[in-house]
Amino acid sequence: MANETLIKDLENASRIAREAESAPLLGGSIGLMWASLATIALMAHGAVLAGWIDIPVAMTGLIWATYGILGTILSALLGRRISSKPGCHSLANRAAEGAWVAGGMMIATFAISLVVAMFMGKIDVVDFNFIPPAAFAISAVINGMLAKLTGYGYLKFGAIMSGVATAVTLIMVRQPEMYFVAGGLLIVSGVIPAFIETRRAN
Amino acid sequence: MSTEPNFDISQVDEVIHGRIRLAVMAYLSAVSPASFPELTEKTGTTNGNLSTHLTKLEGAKYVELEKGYNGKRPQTLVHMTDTGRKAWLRYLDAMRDIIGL
Repeated sequence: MANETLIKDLENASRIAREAESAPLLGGSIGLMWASLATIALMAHGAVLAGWIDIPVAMTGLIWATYGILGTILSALLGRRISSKPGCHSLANRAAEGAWVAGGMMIATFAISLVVAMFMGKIDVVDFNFIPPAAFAISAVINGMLAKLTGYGYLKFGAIMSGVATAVTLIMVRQPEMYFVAGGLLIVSGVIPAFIETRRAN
Repeated sequence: MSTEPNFDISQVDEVIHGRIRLAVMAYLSAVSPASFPELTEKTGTTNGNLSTHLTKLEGAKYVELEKGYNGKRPQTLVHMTDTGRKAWLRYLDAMRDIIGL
């Protein structure tokens, strides 16, 4: 290669590598779907506890089972669309996918363990209230890690707000109103950042 | 003392040293695996041309091609191998020496 051509080709390669490295996070639509569903489920749970929806409190498990099943199906459908987009295997996208899958599995494990403990008579129904703070804590860690990796401000905001939500929901853990507060905090810490992420990816 | 760059052409990996292959390796250094259409778009080349260059990179074991499906659509994913990543880093070092950075 002549010197000028060589430099031009190296500049082109460098531009391609930089563009690839800064590929936007593509999981926003999945995050938006999970955060929106969780907000609805939290509000519905709160409404049952407040007596606004006339079903036995024990049936709130059905709300969460529906949330889990519906979310998993929609994740699979949205994930298929994302996997054909350029940049979906960038470091940040792989880190986000791995972290959220692991985080989701930990929240599910936490919830299933509580169900088992309840059937064994070792805990009270009110102990399920620890799930939202645990989920917010996991969300804070994941958003913080991704914010550091990508430098995106909306993820930093999501991490801080998830941290605040962890503290607030833990303080309110024995109060039924906690579910409404958690739903509100999830809009700020999850729905809004996921919406921004979806807009950036399009 | 000479200020000339340390020019040693034998340092340059001929498999990587071409506009399209260089672009493919640059993209895969940040996004791996990448789909075939993704690579044609990012490198600005045709399917046939990309295939030829990928065959050369595959022959050197710098990339691996994974044929599969995304839903019902056939999909080819191109992975940068460990050998490829090491070769890419050596290539960048060699270029730095040649250009004198």
